[in-house]
Amino acid sequence: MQRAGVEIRMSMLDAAWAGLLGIMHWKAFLLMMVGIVISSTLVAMPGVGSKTAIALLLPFAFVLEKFEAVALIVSIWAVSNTANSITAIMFSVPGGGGSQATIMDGYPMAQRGEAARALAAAFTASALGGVIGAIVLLAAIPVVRPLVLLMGAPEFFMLTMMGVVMVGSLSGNAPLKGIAVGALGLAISMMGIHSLSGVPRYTFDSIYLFDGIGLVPLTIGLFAIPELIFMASRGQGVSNVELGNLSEGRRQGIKDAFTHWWLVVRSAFVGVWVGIIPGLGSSVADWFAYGHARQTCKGAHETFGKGDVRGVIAVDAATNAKEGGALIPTLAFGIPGSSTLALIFGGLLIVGIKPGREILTTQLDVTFSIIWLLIIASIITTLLCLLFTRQLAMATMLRPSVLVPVILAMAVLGSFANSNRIDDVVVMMGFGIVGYVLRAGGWPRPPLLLGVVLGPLAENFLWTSFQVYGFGFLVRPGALTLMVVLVVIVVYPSLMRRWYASRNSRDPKGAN
Amino acid sequence: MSYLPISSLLTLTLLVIFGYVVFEAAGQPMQAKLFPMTVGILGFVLISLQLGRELWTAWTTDDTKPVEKINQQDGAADFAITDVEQSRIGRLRAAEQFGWIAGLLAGLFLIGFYIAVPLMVGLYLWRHQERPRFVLIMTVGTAVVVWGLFNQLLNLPFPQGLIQQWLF
Repeated sequence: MQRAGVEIRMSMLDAAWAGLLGIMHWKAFLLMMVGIVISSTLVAMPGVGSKTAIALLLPFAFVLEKFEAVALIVSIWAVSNTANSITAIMFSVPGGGGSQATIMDGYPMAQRGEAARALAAAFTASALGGVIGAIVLLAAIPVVRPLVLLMGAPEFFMLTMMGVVMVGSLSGNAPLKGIAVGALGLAISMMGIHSLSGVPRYTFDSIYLFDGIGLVPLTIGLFAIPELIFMASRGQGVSNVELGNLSEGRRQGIKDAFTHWWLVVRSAFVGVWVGIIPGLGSSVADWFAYGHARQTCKGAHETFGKGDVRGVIAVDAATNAKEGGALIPTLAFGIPGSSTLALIFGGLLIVGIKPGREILTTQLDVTFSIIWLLIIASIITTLLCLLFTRQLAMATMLRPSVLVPVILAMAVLGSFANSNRIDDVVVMMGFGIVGYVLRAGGWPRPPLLLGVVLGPLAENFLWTSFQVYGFGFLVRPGALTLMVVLVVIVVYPSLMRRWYASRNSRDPKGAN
Repeated sequence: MSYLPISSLLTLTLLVIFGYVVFEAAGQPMQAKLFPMTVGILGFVLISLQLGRELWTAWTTDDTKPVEKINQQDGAADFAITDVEQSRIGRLRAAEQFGWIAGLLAGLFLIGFYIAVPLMVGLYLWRHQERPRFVLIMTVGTAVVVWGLFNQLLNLPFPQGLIQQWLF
């Protein structure tokens, strides 16, 4: 009876209602607010970012119910692109990958005393972008659902590998390093007792390693510790620019975002498109949107870069809309397009929510709760940011001597909370060193995390494929097509780079 | 030509790791070795290519010409390292942070969470010349959070330090 009940696929409307009720429960709502406040404060500080915020709060999600955990984890992520515009606009310091292009026009606006207008425009465009991204995600579900149900283990295996390779190959000028680090992440995920055969692998006879490496200590170590060290080694606060008057111009900024509503819609779609492609992310979405706005807005060539509010609006609408787009491959195919999404993905797995087939069938209410969260959290964050802009900006004035010990203490306590073992703290610190060495050596860290998260899934899909088809699974049409795509992903960027390099050396004038 | 750069030591370490992944997987049953072998061989090949590339670059670099600075992380989804962080003072400060982390870890084992975590916060602030009143407030605040929030509210069973175990 119970099994039959689980197997019943909820209708879209029922699932949407159940998802809304789930996150509107007082406890889930409270956790969403906690996530919003903490995330907005932490991402307002450059170098801390949403990854650190999620990593620090992830341990507390383990003890929560399904919707409560989703509310906490997703809200931290959903709002991370909104608050990071504060430092970009006010101090010309990007709060994260997605706020680099905000500086182009936001900072000149702040310099001429229009900081409040720029901030209000950025926050409003961000909220509108977030809503558009969520609507696109909603519209994508009926299209993607039958496609997911058609796929088998070989296709899913190739998709998981594609996720790792894509993020790896797009890691700057060293794609080989990126993919190799992704493979290292897959190797780390194998540590522990193999769930199918019961064989201990890479445990070095340590009882602690029988359970494998915990995602939480690994993530905190990999991202939070190196950022702390680099923050301290820079020896200066996030910003030392005086805060100006922020109350004036707020209304004008909100009005600007609505006046240029068509630009908001266009930029949001640019963001969604970038989000769907795993590996691209905020740092690409903002420049794409900025470039699009510069090419299409009237008189942009003269005013952009000198404090045009349209430059701010386009960027912030795109970066927040990207999240909705990025959730499409994450939820439907189990391919998180970035390390932050890999963390979300890992968090969902820990509380028993499995992206892929399940989340679009038996757990469709969870999918809808995520969509609702994207909408509600975006709107609430915008309202909070508009209300508390000054207070959030003040967080950026904190000295590293205050930030470092507090975050280090949180990192230690968060790691211990993973499984109540001091070994987790040791692992966290070990991966802190690994993260520092990787970053110092120019090796990207996100593919490693993606490998760790996707490793167990990839292994299960590989074994199922091998059992059913033998090595013949590699020549199944779906798997073969995806493999070709994978090869193109690896080869295409380096071919393009070489082509550009040879073209530029032949014709330096035509380089741009 | 140049000798093998120090940065290649990391590449070499990764090569050894992937070699070990393949080596240990080789003796396991098919079910347990299929994925490790796939990943290990793939990783080994990729790292070998990377190492070959680094060796080739080192071999062909003309020491008399100025080195063109290439940012390996251009366009990467990770923060690029800054010049301040690479400077001598930046490295010294980083070393100091590692010292704090090691000290905290030792403290956790020796005197336990309740004392080590607030003590680290207090000492760190004191070392960086924060006002005594602020140091005191932060230290006591951390102790209250560790005990009140994490132990009493979230029921985290923090282990006692070795010294407490020995004393009591």
